[in-house]
Order: sequence, then structure tokens, then C-alpha cells
Amino acid sequence: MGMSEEKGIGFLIKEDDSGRAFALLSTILVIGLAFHAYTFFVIKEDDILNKYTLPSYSITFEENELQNSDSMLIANGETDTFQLSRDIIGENSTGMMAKIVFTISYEETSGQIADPCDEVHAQIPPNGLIADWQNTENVLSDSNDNCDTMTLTIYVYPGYSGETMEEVGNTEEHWENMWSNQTYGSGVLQLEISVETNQAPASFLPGSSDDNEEVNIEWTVFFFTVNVQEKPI
Amino acid sequence: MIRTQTPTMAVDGLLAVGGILSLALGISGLILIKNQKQEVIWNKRFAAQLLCWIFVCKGVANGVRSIGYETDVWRIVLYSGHFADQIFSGLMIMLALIFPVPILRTRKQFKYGVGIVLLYTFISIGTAIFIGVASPLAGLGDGYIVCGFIWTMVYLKFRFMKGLEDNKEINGVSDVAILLIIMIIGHILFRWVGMLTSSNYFYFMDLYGGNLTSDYLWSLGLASAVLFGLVILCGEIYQTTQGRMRGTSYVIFIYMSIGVVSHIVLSGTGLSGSGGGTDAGSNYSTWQSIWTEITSSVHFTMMRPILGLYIFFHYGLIRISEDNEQVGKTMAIVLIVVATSALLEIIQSLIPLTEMLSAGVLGVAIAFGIGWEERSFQTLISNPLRFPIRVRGSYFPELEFERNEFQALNKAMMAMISFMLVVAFILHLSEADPFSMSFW
Repeated sequence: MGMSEEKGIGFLIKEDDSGRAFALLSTILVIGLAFHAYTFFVIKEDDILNKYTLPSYSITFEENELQNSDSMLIANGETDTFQLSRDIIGENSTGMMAKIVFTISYEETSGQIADPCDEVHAQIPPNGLIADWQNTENVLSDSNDNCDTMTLTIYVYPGYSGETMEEVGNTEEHWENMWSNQTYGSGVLQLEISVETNQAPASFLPGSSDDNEEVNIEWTVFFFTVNVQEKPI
Repeated sequence: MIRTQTPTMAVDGLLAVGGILSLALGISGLILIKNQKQEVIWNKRFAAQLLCWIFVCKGVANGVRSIGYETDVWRIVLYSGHFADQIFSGLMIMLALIFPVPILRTRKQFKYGVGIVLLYTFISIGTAIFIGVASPLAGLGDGYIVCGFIWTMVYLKFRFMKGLEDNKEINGVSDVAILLIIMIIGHILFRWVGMLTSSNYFYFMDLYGGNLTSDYLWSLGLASAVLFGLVILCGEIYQTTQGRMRGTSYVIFIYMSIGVVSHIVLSGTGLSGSGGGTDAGSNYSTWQSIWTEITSSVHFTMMRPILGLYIFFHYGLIRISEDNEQVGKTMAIVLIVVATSALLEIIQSLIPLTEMLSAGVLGVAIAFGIGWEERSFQTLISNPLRFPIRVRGSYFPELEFERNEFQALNKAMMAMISFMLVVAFILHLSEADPFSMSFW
């Protein structure tokens, strides 16, 4: 092989196998890419063109939360009901309702020596408010007799997680409507709290009886508003 | 009391880790090359530098993209990632033209080669700026065809060289060709069945959308990668039947086998907004997203730098002596630590480990990793594989390059990457539209 051939850029093609590797690879490439072009432009053309007509959207949420508290004096053996609704929350209840969290706390307030904590039971009947009652994360009842704080949670807007979502197809209005349904959170939520007092050892003495308990209820309502933006890609 | 929260910017942890890993490998590799005292032949020396800059570019691209596009500076993310990938593509082509077997065989050819690749890179960057990132000339898939073709041809020639089928040095050349192909296109091989079965998960892989021609050119690059993978697979099956199975045979078998399993997992995907690389498609199920993460993400974040490290040392692209041994060890340790973190990140996304537990696992993994490093590092660097210059010297022309010519490459790359970042910033300030000509 001459020096000029050795220095040629085609040296690698011909050396050792007279160009068989090059020919084989070129043939496979041409046949393979012809198949790819047929699939791309004939078999899948409609799908690929449809892809361009499908806009994609970025869906983000802005959250805010509203907190308030109240207390109820509940007599022994009685069940009192605490109610919560958009009307009760007032003018601050803007946006969609994501979830509601109740924190129920109490102390032994009889003032008697060695009086044990009363038994308090809290529960939310799954009706009244239109919410995601089937959500497995809901905590709808709790009870204790050791003065521990109880937390009940109700997820209101189905499917809401607060995380940014990417969606393909439909319109901006469609996705805004999907996350702007005021029906969820409408109605009245009822929190039922019952008290069974536990008497102190010296409760037989005149003038010393434990026949009610003050229960504190703190509620937090999480709201969100949706922002849908068509993505440039 | 009303508290307002705004959604926070989501940083893609895996991309960020992959970016750090690539940057660490690229920068420490450049330091090692600068400090090495031993002579290395010209094409290996240039290949080492090009590989380092390839990893730096990929580190920049992955790093900025890890920020995500839900940010005010999304143009910087998009443009700088795109430009870094375009430089990456140009470097890949340049690498294929000189390593493992130089196609550019004289200084004159080398100069013209560098000039053409530079021109190609500048044209594609200019097209992205002035016409749009989705325009055909700004496409990137062509890099796969050129590199894949050259490396597959090198593989075929050296793996099937008559009378030298068992020559260690000859096989070393075909091995490094396979490893380079897998390093660059390994994630496409995970979807090879989809090309033959006309599946959406292949034909919608990483499409920009909006321009059929540029999407076709991109998909063409992916298809060519699949074809090169199939050629190598057939070659290795044949060699295995002849009793000549090698370590690289296992690598290609594993990648192509994962491709078969991927078809089972992903074949149900419908019309997808994206999908490919480290991304799952917009309508992928949880299981399909997880599968994409444990295959493509692992390749992107861990396998690429690890293969790069192996190629550097095993094939003698970077020679380690007493002068630079410490930097080399540090480089290996950094890679092990960050790669272990990436692996844990993936595991954590699949199994909800507590932070305490994952910290413990990380500690144990790093201890094992560093123990492994101590034992294996010497083996890896002590006996780098030589190319068959005595047996097939005609493939490896001897060219003389001055030290300052090697340094010129580093300076040019530094200038190019800095320039590209500044341009991305200017485009952000100018509120350019990356997808149309409305910027004009």
C-alpha cells in the first residue's frame, strides 16, 4: 500500500477487509433508516402531527391557610356539635378548600386533687360537607382519657396534593375548571364531641363534683387557587 | 391568621447529582492531564482532553436542567443546556475522528477536521439563537450517526480481524469502541425494541415538537444508535458462539436485554409529551416512571462517568505516576461518593427510607467504595492497555504536536463554554422566544 493511500482519509474503510465492514454497516444503516422513515412518516405520521396540536400545561397552586379557635363547655354524658362552613369562616374563605384539620385539646379543670382526665370522644360524621370522604388519609374520629391533644383531618378537594402538575391536551379553561370546583367545601361540617367525666377520689365530699369539661377546638382550613400556564414546549 | 405559601422551585436531584459527577470527572481529568509527566501518544492525549470537556459540557447541561423550567430564568436553563449539548455533540464527533483509530491521519486533515467540527457547532448554535432551538439545523441527533458509524466500523474491523481474533491489543481497540458507543448512546439501547415495533415510547422519545423535520432528524439519530447497537449485539453473539466472549460482550448483552424488558414495561405508553433520557413521558404510570429512573437515569448519572473513568485509566488516556496519583485517587473517591449518593437517591425515590437510615447506608457504601478504590485503583492504572502499534501500526499514524497545541484546546473550550453561558444570559435579558423567529 502506497504512502499516499495510507494517508488518505478513506484508509480506514479499505484496510484489512477491502471495505467489507464499511459496506455491511452502510447497507444495514440504509435499510434500517428507510424502515424508520417509513414508520415515522407513514405509520406514525398522524400521531406525531397530533402531538404538535396538543398543548401542554403547567398547573401550579398557591396555598393559604386560615386558622381560628373556639371552646365548648360540655356536660358529662352530653354530645355537643361544632359546625364549620364557608359562611361561618366568613369573607376570608376564598379559593378552593383543600383540607380541614381540627386540633382538639383539653385539661382536667375540676380543680379537685388527683382528679383524672375525663374521657373525650371526637368524631366527624361523613356528611354535611361535600368532601373527599373516601380519602384513606382522612382521620374522622379519635378519643382519649389522658388529656392528650387529638387531631382530625378531612381532605376536601379530591386529588389535590399541592404539587405542580404537567398535563397534555384540552384547554386552559378545562384545567382551570377542573381545579376550581366550588362544590367541594360547600355545606356544613359537623364535629361532634362528647365527654364522660372521670371522678376524683374525693368526689364524694360535698361541693366537689366533676360534671363537665371545657374542650378547646382549633381549626385550620387550607385553601388553594390554581394557576394554569401553557408551556412553550 | 393567614399564611401564604408559594410553590417552591423543584430541583431534579438525579440530574443535579449526574451534573456534579460529570463536572467532577471532567475537571479532575483535566488537572490530571496537566500534571502528568509520562508521554502519551497524540490521539490518546487529545482524546483524554476531549472526553474531559465532553463531561464538563454534560455536567453544565445536567446541572442547569436540574433547576427545571418552572423558574423565572427558564431561558437561561433552556439555552445554556441546549448550547452545552451542541458543544458536547461537536466534541463527540471530534473524538470519534481521532480515537481509538485516527480517521484524521495528517496534521492537515486534523486542522480541517477541527475547522469543520467548529463550523458545524457554531452553525448549530447560531441556528438555535436566530431561528429557534427546534429548527432542523439546531438538531443534535446527527452526532449519534457520525460517531456511532465510525466506532461501529472500528469495532467490526478489529473484532473480526483475520488471524488476530485473540490478540489482546487488537481486542482492546474493539472493546474501547463498544464502551464509547455505550457511554454515549446506552440510554437509547434501553428502547431498541420500540424502534422495530413502531412503539410510541421510541418514536416520541425526547421530541421537541413543532417542527416535523427537526423531530425526524432527531429520531433518525436515535434510530441509527439502535442499528449500531444491533450490529454489535449480532457481532458479540457470533463471537460468543466461537468461544471468544469478552467483558464488553456482557455489557452489550445487559444493555440490550434491558431493552427487551423495557419494551414489556413501556409498550403500553400512549401519545406522550416527552419521555426518554432521564425523563418519563407525561402520561407514564408510576411503574413506567420508576423503570425509566432505574434504567435511563442510572445510565445518565452513574454509568456514563464510570465508563469514562474506566476508559481514561484502562486504555492509558491518562497516565498516573507519583506526580498525579493523589489527584487520581481523589477523583476516583469523589466519583464513588457522588455515584453512591445518586444510587441512594434512586433507591430513596422507590423505597421511602428515612434520612437517618439513608445517611447510614451512604456511610457504609462509601466505606466499602473507598476500600474497593484502594484495592482496585492500582490494578486499573498500573497496566494500561496498549494499542496494537506493532501489529497494525498503519492504523495509528505518528503525528507531532507541541505542548501549547494541547493547551490551545483547553483555552478554546473554556472560551466557548463561557461565551455560551454569556449568550444564554443575554437571550434571557432579551426575552428571546426559543421556539420561533419572533426574536427578530
